[in-house]
Amino acid sequence: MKRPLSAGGVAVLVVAAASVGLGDFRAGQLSLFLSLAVLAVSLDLVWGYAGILSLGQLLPFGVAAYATARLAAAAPSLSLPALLLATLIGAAVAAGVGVAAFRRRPTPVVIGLLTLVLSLTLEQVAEQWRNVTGGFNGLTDVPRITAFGSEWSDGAQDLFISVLAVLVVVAVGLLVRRPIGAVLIGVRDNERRMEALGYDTVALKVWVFTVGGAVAGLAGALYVHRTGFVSPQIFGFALATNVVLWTLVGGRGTIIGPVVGSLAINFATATLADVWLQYWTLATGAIFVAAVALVPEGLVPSLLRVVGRPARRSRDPGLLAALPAAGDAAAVFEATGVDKSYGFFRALDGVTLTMDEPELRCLIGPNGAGKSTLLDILCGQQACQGGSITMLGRDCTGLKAWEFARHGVSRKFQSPQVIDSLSVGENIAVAAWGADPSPWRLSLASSVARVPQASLRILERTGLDARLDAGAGGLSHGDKQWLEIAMAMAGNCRVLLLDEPTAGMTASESLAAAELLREVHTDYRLPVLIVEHDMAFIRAVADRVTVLARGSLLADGTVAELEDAPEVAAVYGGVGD
Amino acid sequence: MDALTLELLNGVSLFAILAIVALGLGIVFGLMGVINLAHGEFVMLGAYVAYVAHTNGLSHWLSLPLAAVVLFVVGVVIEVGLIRRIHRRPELTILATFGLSVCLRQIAELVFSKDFQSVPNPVPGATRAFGVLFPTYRYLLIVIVAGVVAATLLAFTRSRFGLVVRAIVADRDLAESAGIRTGVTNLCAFGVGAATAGIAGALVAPLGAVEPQAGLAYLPGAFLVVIVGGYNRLWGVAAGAFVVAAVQTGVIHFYDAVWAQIASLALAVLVLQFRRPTPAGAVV
Repeated sequence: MKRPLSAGGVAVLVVAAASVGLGDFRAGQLSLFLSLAVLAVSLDLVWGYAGILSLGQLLPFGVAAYATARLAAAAPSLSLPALLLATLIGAAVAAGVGVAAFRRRPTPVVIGLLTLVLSLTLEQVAEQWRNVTGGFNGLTDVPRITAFGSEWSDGAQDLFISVLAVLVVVAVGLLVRRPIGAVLIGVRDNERRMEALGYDTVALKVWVFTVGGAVAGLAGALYVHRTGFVSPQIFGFALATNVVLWTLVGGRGTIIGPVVGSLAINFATATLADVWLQYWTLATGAIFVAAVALVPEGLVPSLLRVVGRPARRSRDPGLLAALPAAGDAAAVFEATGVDKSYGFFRALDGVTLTMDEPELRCLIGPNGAGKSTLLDILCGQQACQGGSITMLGRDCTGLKAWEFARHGVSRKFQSPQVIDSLSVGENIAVAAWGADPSPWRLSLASSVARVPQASLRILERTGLDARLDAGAGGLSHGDKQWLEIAMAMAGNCRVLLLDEPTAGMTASESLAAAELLREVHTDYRLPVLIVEHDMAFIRAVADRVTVLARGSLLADGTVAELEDAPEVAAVYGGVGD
Repeated sequence: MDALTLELLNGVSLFAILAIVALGLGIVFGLMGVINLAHGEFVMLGAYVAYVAHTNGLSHWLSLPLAAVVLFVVGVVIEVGLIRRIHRRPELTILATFGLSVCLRQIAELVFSKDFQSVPNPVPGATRAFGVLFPTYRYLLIVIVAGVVAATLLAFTRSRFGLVVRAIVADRDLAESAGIRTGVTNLCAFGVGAATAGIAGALVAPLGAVEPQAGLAYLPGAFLVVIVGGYNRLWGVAAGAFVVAAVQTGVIHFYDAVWAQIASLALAVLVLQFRRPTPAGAVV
């Protein structure tokens, strides 16, 4: 928190001094390249943090630049309010693209292509729509910023643009240190996990695309005042991909990296293009290829690693115990007549499963019995084709995974799903914030997370609480399992669904796990449904066991009752070891 | 009636050009998950092969197989030197092949200069059929493209190689552990993709200017084809090319090229809205 603020203060002073002291020519270059650096930072927010490779970051930038140019010609005295308007226009353009592009979850590659084609199409539109855009030659003689009664001098405008650009970069740098930064990284790393924690990832992507568009829009307005003209090439292939180059070379997901990349490459281009002429273009292409093949994480992270510092430090965000939630009066869940087919294969055939009181229930059955499918349906990861699901007194049939999660249904996946790029503490915090995941709130809130006692208990008993600042990606398989269980309990968790929690554990670890789960269940009256194969674990943990076979309910009762039941032994040779 | 026939024939020849450009893109993407932003530059290089063949007095028809061979070699070199290192990360391949496209354009400019070059039409004149006159060369182009596409489809569906390829598309890791050398198949796929682009370039060379930036023009259309048609199956590419060509020809007939581009973009966005959503976290 302190570091970016003081670094930002220093940067403002340095840039202001440079702008005044370097002479008109260099100051002009600096303000131009800094306005482009803001564009690269907007891409970093979208791509480096949220993982959306946008090749159309020029859309909000260019539309805002055209709008600013028109407005500056029509009403020059409104330059400063027009900057705000350009920001809003950028946001609106990006929001429109985001809604159209992200709604049906296309792959990242399709989004990249779509945004690129969109940008190239706009280039052609700008060339043809002459009475608005000035056609191929664009709009020229855009006046400098006019405020306080006069048009500013070049020097004053350069100083203003440079300082404002640095302030925007600092603001974005502060934003990503808020909870939203970690949440966006979560969306980038593991979308399925984030949905199971209550995050509407499509809405989050549209949100970050919109914020990035606002930043790009402001950059476009500054750029057009600085250059004095705008032409259709602003949407063209060259600039669209150059901004990606600056971000890539500088280092994605660092905010400062793209600024370094923009300044370095642009100053190098300005200096070398005269000397080398066409060889410089060849060199930029070669730099691009080399950067991707040799330092895909970018220069700034690579240099930081050489001096022994990670680009993004693993932090312990600070976990506080949340007040215990009121107990639930309603039945835990009622799944009635659930049908699910994959093609001709009936995975579930009219299964009815209910839990009236908080209990520790195990769901067993041979492979292919439909256990994981049923678990998926109980938390919205898959939709059922027939039947209804009532969770904690509310009809949840047809809701999405994140809606189930917000309603209190938590899930641990079969193979542990944690967010590898974040620390253990941040994983828990992201899970806890999922209970109230408005992106605006997450942009303002402090990074301290309020975590339910049950989750803290798990961390404490597994020793993870001593390693809250360790990177989750480096944990062992078993530790990841427990981290994910703690994450599942960290949000608004009122029912816990666990898919094979002891997979990969030794016999003694499984029994310790059973003990810990029983303890949490008893102390917090937490309903738990576990899919398992390990009979020793099931004997130790389960109040009651439900047996599924070939998509239907076969039997239901205590472990002792089922071990004597001949029909269970018939389908399930493994029962009783 | 004649105007409509002419428009239909124009549409078919546009479809043929789009289909052969998108074919290579689809092979490389479907098989390797690699988006090749330098594909347009492969087309451009193919056109230059035709130009060099012409300046050396070779027949234009000879330049088609020549372009295929040259571009196959170029593709193999690029696969070994670059794509192989990064092909499992689709985002990086987009960026690397973009850098490559800049390099190829600039190299072409350094070697051949920025000037527009032309390749003479080997069969000037028109043929009268269906009651209208239509350039003979375009008829031949349609036939040749149909031949190339059919041969490629046959190779991918009927041969042992095709079986291996389909196994890889279905599950790369499983195919590898079953003993299929996916590296070799990748090499072939990238080489064949580049070779079809080379043929495309040599084919269209007499229809327009041969210049370093020529490849850029094909890219938006080819990508729209891939978005619209999907990329897991080659027939998807063919269907996508057909739909995009139909929309573009239709709109060009009534309005102009820009509206045609917008219309096909709108179509792509529309297709995205109705496509079955990919599961969260899928990569390709």
